[in-house]
Amino acid sequence: MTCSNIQERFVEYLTGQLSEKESEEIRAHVAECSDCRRELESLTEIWTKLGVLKEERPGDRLRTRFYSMLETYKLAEEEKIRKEREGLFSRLKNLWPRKPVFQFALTLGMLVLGLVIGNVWTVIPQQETVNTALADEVQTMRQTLAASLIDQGSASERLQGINMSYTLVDPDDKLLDKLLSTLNSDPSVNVRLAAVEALYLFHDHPKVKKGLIDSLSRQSSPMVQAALIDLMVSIRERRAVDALKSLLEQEDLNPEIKDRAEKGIQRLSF
Amino acid sequence: MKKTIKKNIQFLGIALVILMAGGFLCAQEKAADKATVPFSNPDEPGLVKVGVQHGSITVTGYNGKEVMVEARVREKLVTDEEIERNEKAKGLKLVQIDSTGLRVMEDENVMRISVSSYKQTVDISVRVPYATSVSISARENGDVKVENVNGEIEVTNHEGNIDLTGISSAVVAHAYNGEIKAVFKSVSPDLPMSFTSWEGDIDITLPADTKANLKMKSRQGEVYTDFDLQIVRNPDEGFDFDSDKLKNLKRENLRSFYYRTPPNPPEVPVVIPEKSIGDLKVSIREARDFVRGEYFDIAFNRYIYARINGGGPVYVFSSNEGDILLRKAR
Repeated sequence: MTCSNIQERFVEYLTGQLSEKESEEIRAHVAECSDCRRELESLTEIWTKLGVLKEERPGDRLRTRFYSMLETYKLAEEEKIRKEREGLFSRLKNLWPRKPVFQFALTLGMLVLGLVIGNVWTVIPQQETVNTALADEVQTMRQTLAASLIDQGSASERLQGINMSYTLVDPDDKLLDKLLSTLNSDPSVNVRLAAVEALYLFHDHPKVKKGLIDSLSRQSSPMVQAALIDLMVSIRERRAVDALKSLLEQEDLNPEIKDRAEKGIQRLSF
Repeated sequence: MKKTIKKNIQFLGIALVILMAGGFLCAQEKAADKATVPFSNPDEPGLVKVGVQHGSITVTGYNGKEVMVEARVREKLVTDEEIERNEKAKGLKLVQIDSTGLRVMEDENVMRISVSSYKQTVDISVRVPYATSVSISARENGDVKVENVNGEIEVTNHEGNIDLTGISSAVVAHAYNGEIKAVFKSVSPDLPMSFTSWEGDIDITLPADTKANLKMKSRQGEVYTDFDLQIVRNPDEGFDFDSDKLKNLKRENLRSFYYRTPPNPPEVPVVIPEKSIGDLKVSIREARDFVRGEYFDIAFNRYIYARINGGGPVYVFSSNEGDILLRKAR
């Protein structure tokens, strides 16, 4: 099988649509061919940025909210394009020569220029920039949607919002704040646990790291305490030792949590 | 003007505070406090929020438009020792006051039901229109039961059990000491669910054709199911346990590796040895050990990921000590 044959099927491979045998073929080829491997890696990166992680089928309420958001966005875009076009049009008009001979010459010149540009253009792939721009937009859209779900949904919808934030590569401060406040004050233990898992993905962010450490003392549910302790240990966050020590001073601390906190301190201290 | 009056009626008029001082010492059966309250917009599905500190909560769907609440004092939370220790009351008998301090407030289709449960255990039972969503919070001395409700259900019970039957939307449930049991008639096709417990088992029965992405873990317990699981690599982090490459990576590099793996990876077939417990034949402890590999130690996310019927919304099952039992409805 040729390289281009293999590369054609990368998208299907990434979305898991290939049979096990076909996937195996691709894996085998990629292991040997460095060009294809690079191609697959860069495609994977774009894929991750696009966040096409899971197939999410939005509910009715979500759909309405999404479309109203999309509508607002579209109107704003159209307005922008209309304005640009008007400005461009009047400027072009001034450039147009009055004599027919010059008009003809200009047209001919344009044609030649167009052919040359067209020829060059087709060789340079534009895929990359388009993908990046699209990825950015998808990212912004998901971010807004996730934030609005976490804000006002039922417990199940709040979970949906948090699940959505799993797919973001680089969420903005607003969403991170929202996840942190959810972790500290959402009435549902289940939703708070989901927030811990989402924040784990962004723990490199200084704000998130500090927020996670501060949150230890605010949690009363052993479920959430345990998840936070596991997280601190797994990211080897030494600054969490003090927070773990003050957790140990809490009255009525669940004995198992006490045990886990002590082990956590040991593991973070050496 | 009319609207303001109506609003006031909703706020104040419907905010019923029933205090029945039925202090009958010799009464055999304690009298219940009752209230029947309509939603302000009966044609739209409403939300009922019920909370109790000491006691049980039962919510049942019925073919009607109003919410019917009954609250009954089960017992006084005063011990004999406490009574004996009270020197001043020597020679006097304790008078039981049976009022629950039931309180029902309705505003824009959200109904809040509470009782004053200071020093007494109260059992609350609520009948709601089928389409209602419910949000329940209980702490001590009682179980939570929900039957035949088609709306979304959110439940927290600290001490007692959670028992949901004949339900058909999405559930978010947490029990600390008790068990969670849920039998679904059908599920919402796109809403995620979550079941978490500290000590108790999580026993869930789903329709056989349910499409879902499952995330399951129990620290000390086991996971059992009779669904055909398609085990997948961790889709959130692309935790690639299958790759030889991973073995050569250092810890620092691991995170960046997560992001480079396909977010929706091809399925990896895992051979699951069969075991049987009751009528559930599959245990996936072996699969979990396989998933862990030697990287278990550094992976924060220790779930087993699996799809059933091709996948759908995410259902989380997580327990510290309890078993997870996932059954196909028959």
